[in-house]
Parts: sequence; C-alpha cells; structure tokens
Amino acid sequence: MLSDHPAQVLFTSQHPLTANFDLKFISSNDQVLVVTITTPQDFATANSEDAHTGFSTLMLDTVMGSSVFGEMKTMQPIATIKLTTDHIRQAKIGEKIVCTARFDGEIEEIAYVSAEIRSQADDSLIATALGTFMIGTRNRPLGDA
Amino acid sequence: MEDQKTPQYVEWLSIKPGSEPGLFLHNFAEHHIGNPFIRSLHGGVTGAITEYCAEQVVFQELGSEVSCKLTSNSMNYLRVTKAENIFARAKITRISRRMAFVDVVCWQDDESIPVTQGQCTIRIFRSE
Repeated sequence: MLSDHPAQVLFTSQHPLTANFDLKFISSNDQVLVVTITTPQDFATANSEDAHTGFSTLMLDTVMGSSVFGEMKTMQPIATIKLTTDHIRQAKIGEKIVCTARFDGEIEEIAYVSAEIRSQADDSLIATALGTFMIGTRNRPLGDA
Repeated sequence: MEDQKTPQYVEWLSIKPGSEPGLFLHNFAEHHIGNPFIRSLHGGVTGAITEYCAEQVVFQELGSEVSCKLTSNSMNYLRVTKAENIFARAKITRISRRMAFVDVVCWQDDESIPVTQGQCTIRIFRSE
C-alpha cells in the first residue's frame, strides 16, 4: 500500500469525510492511481443491500481529485469544475471496490481525469467518470465577506 | 428511537423534501466537508445530493409504484461552496415510458447564485 501519496496528506484519518471510511491508496504508476474501499453501511438504500449511486459519485470525485494532487509539482488547492458519471450498477454494502483514476493531462491550469469503479471480487464494472479540475483555487469560498 | 424507514444514505446526506414539489433542503454536517482548508463541501456530496433530488422528483411525479435507476449524472460546479446548508430544485425536462431527464440546481445563499447544476438521466421501471 502507498504510504506517501500527496493526497493522503488530505485524506487522512483526520479528514471529516473520509475519517470513517476504509480508504486505502494501493498504487500510483504511470499517472494511474488505484484506491480501494469497502462500501460503507452509511450509504445503504431502502432495501439495505445496495449503496446509493451517490456513493460512487463521491468516490470517483475523491479518487480523481487525488490523482490530480499526485501529479502536481507543488501542493495547491484544486476544485472540481465538471464531473460526468455513468452508473452501470450500484455497489453492494460491504462490497470491496477498486477505484482507478487516470490523469489524462493538464493544460492552462485545467486537469483532465478519467476513472472507473470495479468490484474487487469479480472485476465487474460499477461506474465510470470523467472529471475536470481547476488547479489553484481561491483560498476561501466565494460569497464570503 | 431510530427511524427504520429512513434510508441510511438519506441520513448521511441529511436531506429532506422542502415545502413545494421539486424543492429539497440539505442540512450541513461536518462529514460533508471536502476541502478542510477552505471548508468547502465535497464535490461528491453535492453530486450525491443532485442524484437524490433527481430520483425523488420522479417519484413525486409518478408515485412510489415505479422504481428508478439513475444511469448518469453530469455536474457543473459553478462556484466554491461554503460549509453551510444547500437548497436544491429539481425540474423534470422530460419523462417517457422508460426514461426521465431531470435538471437539478443547488444554491446556498440565493437561488439566483447557483453553486452547481446537474443533469441526470434515470431509467424508469413501471409495474404494468
């Protein structure tokens, strides 16, 4: 497992969102980042077996953003500006999933990333995504005085 | 006592229908933070809110006897969010026998200053 990926500075056990998630950075080679997680109970739908598609969206945004962090020469804030997700199926609660993000390139402070989620058990496809990120954002939310 | 009828993801997202059809209210929770340095909401959280609202407005239109599968979502992140509540308005662009196309706009301070806009495609399964 990776111990020094830049995104782990952000997504540590202290991070408010991922603190309770079993997020593991597995590898980062040739601009491809691999992260695994066990689908948490928090996202159970009414039937309690499936996770809501929002969980996949959350993970894809997290892993693609992490991929951008990993490719930057200096650490700076980033912001998602576009995220397109196709949901092939819902992840099952307790299912171990593999999230793979490919950094496709950066030009004029815009980074382009593609990603997918597959089941670790049978490699079946769960979701795919394209993400676009702005590198270097304002240091506080817009609208603040 | 825990309400067994409320799905856990709805509790995690902390979202509920608003006072009119298509309007939804999100209550900020600390675990919705994506960037702790500027305390903005996680883009995946607003994405998940958008998907929830898109499904719910279809149920509001067609009733709970149909089931839905959200197949795709395309989000534009228009502004950086703050660590505060979100409002969302979902509008159905078209419903056919098998598909629904729904636009969802989210805002925080003012509906005229949206933070995200999403376009969701939903497969509908009818019982008949």
